[in-house]
Amino acid sequence: MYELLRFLHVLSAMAYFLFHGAVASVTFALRRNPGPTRIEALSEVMRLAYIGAPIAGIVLVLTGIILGIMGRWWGDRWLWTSLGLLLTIGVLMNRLGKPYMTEWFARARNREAQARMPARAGFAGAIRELFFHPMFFALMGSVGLAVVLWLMMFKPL
Amino acid sequence: MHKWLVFLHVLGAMGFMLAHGGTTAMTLLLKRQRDLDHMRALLDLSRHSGPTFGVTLLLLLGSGITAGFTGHWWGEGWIWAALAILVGITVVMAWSSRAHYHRLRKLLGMPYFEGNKDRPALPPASEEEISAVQATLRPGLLAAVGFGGIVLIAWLMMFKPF
Repeated sequence: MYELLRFLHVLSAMAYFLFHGAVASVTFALRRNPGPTRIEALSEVMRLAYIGAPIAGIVLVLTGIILGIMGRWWGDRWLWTSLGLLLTIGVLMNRLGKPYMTEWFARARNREAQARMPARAGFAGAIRELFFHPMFFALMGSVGLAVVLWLMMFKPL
Repeated sequence: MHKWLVFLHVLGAMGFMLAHGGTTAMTLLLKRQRDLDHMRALLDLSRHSGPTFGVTLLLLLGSGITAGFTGHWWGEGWIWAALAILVGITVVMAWSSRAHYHRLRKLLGMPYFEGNKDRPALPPASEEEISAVQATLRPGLLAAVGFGGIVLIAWLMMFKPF
């Protein structure tokens, strides 16, 4: 039973990353100026990902919780650390990713508005450009994922 | 050392799935598109994930092959079966990419791959020709082969049944 749940946990993680990969590819595609027509196809990709990712995410979390109970790991710090890390990544992605998507979808749909948009100059502009970039999201997600995986496999705490 | 290799292998597998997100979305959505520009947007989405796909596949294969030696698994059947399934999936996907998706890229007036060479864009074909190729797409079958194969490989690796 435990092994089957672990198998399901791994499969749901795979599906979760597949759907997140679709979202990641859209975040990069938005910066290639897709234009008002092509943006509709990208919206459709987002809709597909927003259906699949939560389903996979729920299975992932549920199997993880049950595995934690069956393995008596809820008293171990590695489990809480990885959960905390996942939550932090989720909040950061939501706080940064959502406005990024809103802004770039609006830009692509309306090229006139894009031309009118003032560029933010100076240090604040540079910082915004750094944190408001798909490469930052990808780096944050990948490093976070690697640390969570390391915690789960090596159980160091 | 062995545990680190398995860690890298799992990390490579996760990255491989992430890199496939755009292509999977393209495969699932392309058949029902009627607007030619929508089709171009989806085909481009898939094309740009190529470098990440290559790096993660290298990490996945490199760590997997080395872990096979450090874990003394090359004498067992499951590892060969998993490798054979991976090769099988790759062959099906590569064939489908050439027979359908690069053909569509060509007809849509986009740069495409043919005869082992990257080719520049040609003038777009007629909508009838494009629709004819689009009708041959089998997204459900490809998804079943791709994800079904991954499920089988994961099962073989985790349960090592033979």
